[in-house]
Amino acid sequence: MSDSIDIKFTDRSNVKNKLRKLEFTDKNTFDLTIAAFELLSEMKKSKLSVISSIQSNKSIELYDHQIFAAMKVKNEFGGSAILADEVGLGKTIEAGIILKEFLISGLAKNILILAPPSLVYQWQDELESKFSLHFTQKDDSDYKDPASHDLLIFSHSSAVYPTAANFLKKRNWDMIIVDEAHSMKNSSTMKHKLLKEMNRKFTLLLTATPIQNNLGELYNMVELLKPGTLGTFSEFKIRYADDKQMRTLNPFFKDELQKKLSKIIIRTTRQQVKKYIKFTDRIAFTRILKPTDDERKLYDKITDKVREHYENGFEVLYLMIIQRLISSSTESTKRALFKMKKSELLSSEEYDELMEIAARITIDTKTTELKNTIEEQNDSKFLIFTEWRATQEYLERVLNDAGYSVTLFHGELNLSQKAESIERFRNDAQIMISTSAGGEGQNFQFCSNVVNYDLPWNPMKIEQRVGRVHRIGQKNDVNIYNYAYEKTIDAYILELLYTKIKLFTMSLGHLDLLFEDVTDEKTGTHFFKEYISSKDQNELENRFSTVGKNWNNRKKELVNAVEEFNQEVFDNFSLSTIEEKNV
Amino acid sequence: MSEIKNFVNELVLGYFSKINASVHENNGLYEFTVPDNFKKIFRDDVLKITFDENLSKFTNYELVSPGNPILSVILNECIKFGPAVIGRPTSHDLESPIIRFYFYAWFKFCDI
Repeated sequence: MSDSIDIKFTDRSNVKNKLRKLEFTDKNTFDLTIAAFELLSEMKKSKLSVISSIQSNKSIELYDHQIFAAMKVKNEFGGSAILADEVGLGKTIEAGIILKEFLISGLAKNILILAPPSLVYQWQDELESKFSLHFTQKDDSDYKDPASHDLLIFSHSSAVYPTAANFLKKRNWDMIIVDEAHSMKNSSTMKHKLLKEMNRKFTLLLTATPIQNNLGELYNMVELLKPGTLGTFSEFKIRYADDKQMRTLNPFFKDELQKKLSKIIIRTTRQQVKKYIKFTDRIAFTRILKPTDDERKLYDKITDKVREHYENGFEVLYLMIIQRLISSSTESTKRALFKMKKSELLSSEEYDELMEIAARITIDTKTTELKNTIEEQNDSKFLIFTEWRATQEYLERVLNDAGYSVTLFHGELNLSQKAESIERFRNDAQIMISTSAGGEGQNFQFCSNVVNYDLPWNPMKIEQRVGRVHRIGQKNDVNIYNYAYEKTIDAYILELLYTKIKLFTMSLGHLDLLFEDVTDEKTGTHFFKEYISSKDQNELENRFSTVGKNWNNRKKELVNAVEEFNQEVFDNFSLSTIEEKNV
Repeated sequence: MSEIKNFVNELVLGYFSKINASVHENNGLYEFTVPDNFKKIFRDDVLKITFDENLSKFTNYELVSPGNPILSVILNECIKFGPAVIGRPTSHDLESPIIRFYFYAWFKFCDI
């Protein structure tokens, strides 16, 4: 074995042929070509002006691949690219660096970010806390209309509403960033058409899965970015697809396609960065608990009342909230009873009887289990999530009484109170109890235990919770504790759905594919209807098992398809090899 | 960075001169009228540009600096011209013309 130098030549400018045919350019043109090469070479070396100011912010740690990707987009890709890093490598950070660089250098004055509804707040918060950039979103008090704000975040779904879409299309955007851009892969959707019609100079499409089902999706994405790069659709299909369904790549033109893609796509894999980023695991612990007699009686009696009103045609969403409240804690159950009495779903006698049972429950069985778990983990920090303020306040009281230091985090706190609570959790408090709304967008990598004290009925919300602690910078494996009482709706969702598809350890990329159209209302109502309309336990289990099987099959299909395409199209396609492939 | 600015400035002005675009300059603000056969690649008839970021901030003139799409187009066009030129040196008494061409190579260390 000895070192040698491998020299490869490529004749990008067709010099050989030109010499052969004695085709020469004039001196001025030659000088322009040389100047272009020299400028390109200088630009490749040129650093971004915002890096040191971003790095001075302690809440952000930049990694080499993120800086490198941002440099490439600015200096080599002309400001438009598909950022297709594997999940968890910080595509949002890369986009943040790029947009700040473009704003500071004067290349962009107005920027629109299109994100899935569940990530709008997270984007806004990350840009504010990490990049000191204030983006406005539709729900802000100072929001006017899409034409009035230079830095704007819109959800995919809000953007396609006719009024918003008209405003968005009329404007000349300097930069449009689309998060989870694979949702625009279908050219017949309103989202895709809207983006195609919007005027802009620079486009960043962020996705970990540029192809899910067929090569046509990749074509559609590239068309959104740089139309014409891959020719017309039929030219692309004939040249690069090996079958009618476009599910396999023509091996003869694989290199050619990769070469074209290497000028618009940046993809970093976990394998490439493992030298400097430690990835940890997620370990789920699901505890289905036996409730006390009073807990059982309380839950069953209220569920019977809910079922009765459901059968009588009472508003489903309202009943669903009642069912969710009684699944959380005895304290939230008391709120549910109060609501039911107020809306005349319970008589005074029924209310008194049920409140009496609730009053006998001094501590929930789930709480005892939670205390044991915290005890077992010695002094480890815990991030406990609940959907309800009543449960949050109850847990705070019980855990404080038990001698734990606790801090609360919820949507009613103002910005400085939130910051104070985070600092307290980081420095002093062992436990933070957070509502889902309060927890969005916050990062708690210094904690590695997450408790789902009650269960969100939207699977994406699980990821939002766990994603607060399981992200770049987490040094330990993350323990996820889930609690539910046997034979309750939460137990069925946990056992027959979430555990079955290994939801707690699924990556965001796969989750997002599986549940891309899922909303709280959609899944919640679905689960609730299945539960409340089942005649007996057998029927109930069958219904949930069927949903679980469907999810599982779809998951397998998606995972297989995505991995197959990643291997075919992106194999050996990375930042480090792009350069060599261009040779 | 200022070196890059100069490179950009020279390249852009040189390119527009080569394609015979008419230019109107006013205190660092440039308006180029693009010849018909180049309108397709620039997707515009008139390009209003500046190389000064301060001027760009307060006007509707587009800043042309690394990252700008107009610059990307020009870079790609210039590279396509083909880096081969023929000439007769004036400082030497040579009979044969000289062909000069530009190429670049990537060097990669590898094991055999």
